[in-house]
Formats: sequence, structure tokens, C-alpha cells
Amino acid sequence: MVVRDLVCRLGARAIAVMIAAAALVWHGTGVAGAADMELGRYLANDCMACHRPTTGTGPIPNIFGMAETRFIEAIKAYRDKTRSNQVMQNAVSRLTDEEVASLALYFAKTQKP
Amino acid sequence: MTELTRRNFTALAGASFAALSTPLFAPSALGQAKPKVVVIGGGPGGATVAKYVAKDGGLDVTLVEPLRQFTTCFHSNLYVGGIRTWESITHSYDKLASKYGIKHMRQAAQAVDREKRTVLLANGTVLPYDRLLIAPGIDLKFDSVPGYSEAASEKMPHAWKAGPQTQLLKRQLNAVADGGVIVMIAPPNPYRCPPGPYERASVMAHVLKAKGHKKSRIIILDAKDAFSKQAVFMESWQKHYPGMIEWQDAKMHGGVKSVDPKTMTVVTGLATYKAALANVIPNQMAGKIARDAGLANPSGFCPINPENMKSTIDPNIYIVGDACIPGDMPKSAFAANSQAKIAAMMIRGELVSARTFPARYTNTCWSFIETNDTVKIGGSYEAKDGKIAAVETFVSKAGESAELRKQTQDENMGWYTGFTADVFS
Repeated sequence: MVVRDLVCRLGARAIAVMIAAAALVWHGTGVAGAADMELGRYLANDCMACHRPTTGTGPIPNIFGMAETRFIEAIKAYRDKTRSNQVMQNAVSRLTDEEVASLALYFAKTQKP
Repeated sequence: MTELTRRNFTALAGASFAALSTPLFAPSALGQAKPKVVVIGGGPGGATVAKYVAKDGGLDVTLVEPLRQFTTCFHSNLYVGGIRTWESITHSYDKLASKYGIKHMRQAAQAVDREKRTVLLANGTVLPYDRLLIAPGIDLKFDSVPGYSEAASEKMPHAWKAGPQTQLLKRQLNAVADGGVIVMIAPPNPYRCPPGPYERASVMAHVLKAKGHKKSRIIILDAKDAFSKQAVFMESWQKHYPGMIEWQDAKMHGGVKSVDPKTMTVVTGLATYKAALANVIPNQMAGKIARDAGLANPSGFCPINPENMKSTIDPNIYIVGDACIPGDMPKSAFAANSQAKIAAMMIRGELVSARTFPARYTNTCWSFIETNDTVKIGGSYEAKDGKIAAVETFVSKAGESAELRKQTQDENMGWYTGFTADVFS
């Protein structure tokens, strides 16, 4: 059989990896490590329970449209615990650098929720 | 190298696709009607799901909620304490309809037919669904307190669902004369809003203190041995309301033996009280519609898959908020909203091949104790060990500065503004 020949040559595991990779591309996952707008949007859901354009006058800042570098600096300070606030430290403690970059990209490019 | 037969090739391919849960040919791609999502319950859980499912389009979303507008149970203690107005904690559903095209059916859901995948409304309308989200909140187990009943709550309010009960409680509080004894019965776990009873005792003390009461007392008869943020509540009660609030655990009071709304009497193993106000907060369970649909377990609450908030009993039904079994998360509005966003993502993933990510959850609960003294507790969560498990938690600490406690109150008020915008607009 043609399929059997092909499979024997490439190997079962290789085939499985190719299928999974093809499915991932279908799914639209970006390059690992780069800022990902969709990932940023998903992670931003958590932020939106508190951060809205309307809360800007109180202690919870409006972060929509914030410059990426400023955003990343603030989040990393909370992650390092050099900046204090229990809610924020807890919110960002498990974020990877890729996730921080993705969030920064999302908020920089989004003016309102 | 494993021998690759045609059989295990198919299995491998199937497993790769199944792992991503992607329907290859979504109905909309074939030009059929949009998939239907029905949401039962317009609280912070249900309203958030409806919005987050609808806002990226492609789905037909109906919200079943009999109320025209929603008064939040969270911050209702602040209304009881005279710190917020009723209007400021009441929100319209209009924006959900106008901005996202959500159909708001102002009817109660009567029954769910899981075989046919339909919801029967009180007016006889039958709503078909592809996926159903049930977020009915809690119902009270009135008979969990001897002598208590739904009728009794007109004299001894629970005020554990925001509405007329809350307004009744406030009227009763404002009528308490100096020397009056307020008795609160606090429920065993699990219940809606773990720190809620203690915030309520605080706002009651706040009102009585402001009126100059010297002899009034608030006695909390707890079913529990400990409560949420206990250390900081006790410290602040001693600071702001010395001698006014007395907390008793079951070891001390020996159990609540009876309550009598006719005589306003509360009897425990330790003492009998003639109450000027009796706030009875009974044991709780999931809202009736979820229990009647067979989605609850013997605990009275509904088990869910922590990776996607699906009912473990029916794969076409999702459950979020107080009605579900949330693992390490508390039953809070914040938690309901967090769970709702995961459910919405997973529903869209199933119905329109939207991209999904591994579930992450979060919660923060703020409690007012006195003006410029608010405390908080919270955490981050993920699906682990078959439940929603805490990753990291935090809580306000005893001895914190007055400045920090004031900031925490400002944060609480800021959160409420943002949160209700997130849910209702």
C-alpha cells in the first residue's frame, strides 16, 4: 500500500508529529517566544475585571493604550515584588516574559475593551 | 520504532486532532443558522458569559433572566451600612442587548430538557440550545436552622440574595434602639461569600456606633470554627467597635437549637436571646433549575471540569458561579466572572473553532470593616488534581498601616466600578 510505504519510510512518530504540527498551524499558534496579540487578549480578560477606562481617576489606572515599555516595566516590578500591591503581585507572579510582552502588545494596541 | 498499522495510524491522527478539540467543519462555515447559546441567570456569572460569548460574533446568544435590572449582592452590605445607595449598586441589562445583540428573555427558566436540548420558560416558550450555561446562584436551605422557613425570613431576614430582603434588613437595623441585641447565625462551608457575614457585622456596628449606641451588641453564632480573614477582622473589631461584636464558634454556643420569628427568640446550647434583629443565614445549595436538571451532586452543588467549566454530568452544559463546586476558589462574584470568561472561551472554541488557551482563574474579595479600614483576600488558580486549585494566595495582614487600609478601601470602590462595567457593559 502507498500509505504503508510512506509511513514505514518516515516512521510512526514522525507522522504523529507532522499531524500535530499541522493541526497547530491550523489553530493559528504563533512563533514561540514572540508577543502574541491573541494570547495577550486572553490574558487581558483577567485584568478587565478591575482595569477599565472608567476606573482611571481612582487607584486602579486605565491601562488601555499604555506604551509597551511602560507597561512591561510596571508588570516586571510587580513580578519582582519591587513594587507593592498584593493584588497586582499575585496577578502577575506566574506570567512568563512572553506573556508579559503579549499583554503589553494587546494593551498598547487597544484603546478600549 | 512502534509498528505502524493502519489502525493505530488512525488512532494517532484522531488523538492529535481530538487533543485540540477543534471541529473541522463548524456549522456556520456550511451556511447554516448560527449555533445557539442559552444562558440561564443574569448575575456576575451569567451576564459575563453572555457578553464574552457574544462579543466576537458568530453565535446566537439568549440571556434568560426575569429581572429588568440587577442589584449586586456584593457591596449590598455597604448599602445596609449607609455607605452606598441602592441605585449605585443596581445595573441595567440594556447595554448587553444593544452592544452585543444578546436577546434578554425577561422570564424565569422553568426546566431544562437535556435530551432535547431545550429550556422551558415560565411563559411556555421553548428555547433550543447547542450549549447551555447555567448560573442560577444559590438557594437557601431554610430548614437547616430549626424553626426557620421562607415565611420566617420576613421577620428574620437572611438578606443573602440582594433585593427586598436587603432593604428589609436595613430598615430593621435602623430601628434598633441602644441596648438592642442583634443575633447573626453564620452558616457552615460552603456558602456564598465567605467573609460576607463578618463584613455585615462590621457595617451594622458602623451604623450603631455612628448613632452613639453604647449598649447594643452583635452576637455571631457561627457553625464554623474559623472564618475568612478572621485575624484582621478581630483586630479591627477590637480597634473600632470594642465590646460590640462577639463571635461564638459551635464549641462555645453548643449549637443553635431554635429560632422563633414570632417572639424573636434565638436559643443555643449556651443561652437564650431576645433579638432586636435576627439575621439568619442558613445553609445553601445550587439554584433550583440546576438541581432539577440533575446537575448537582449530594452536596447540593454542581461538579464541573476545572479545565473548561463544563458540567461533569452533561457535556453540553457549562456551570459557573455560586452554583458550581469551585475547588479552592470561593463562591464570589469575582470568581464567577473569572470562571465565566473561561466558559465563554471554551463554548466559542467548541462552536466556532475560536482559539482556546489553558484555563487560568483569579479572585480578590474586599471587606469593609470601618471607614478607611478595608481588608482583602485573593489568589490565582488553575486546573490541577481534578479541581480548580490555588496556585498562590494572599490576605491582608494584622498591624497594617492605616494608610494601606484606606488604599484598600479606595481599591475596593475602584474595583466595583470597573467590575460592573466588565459584567454589564
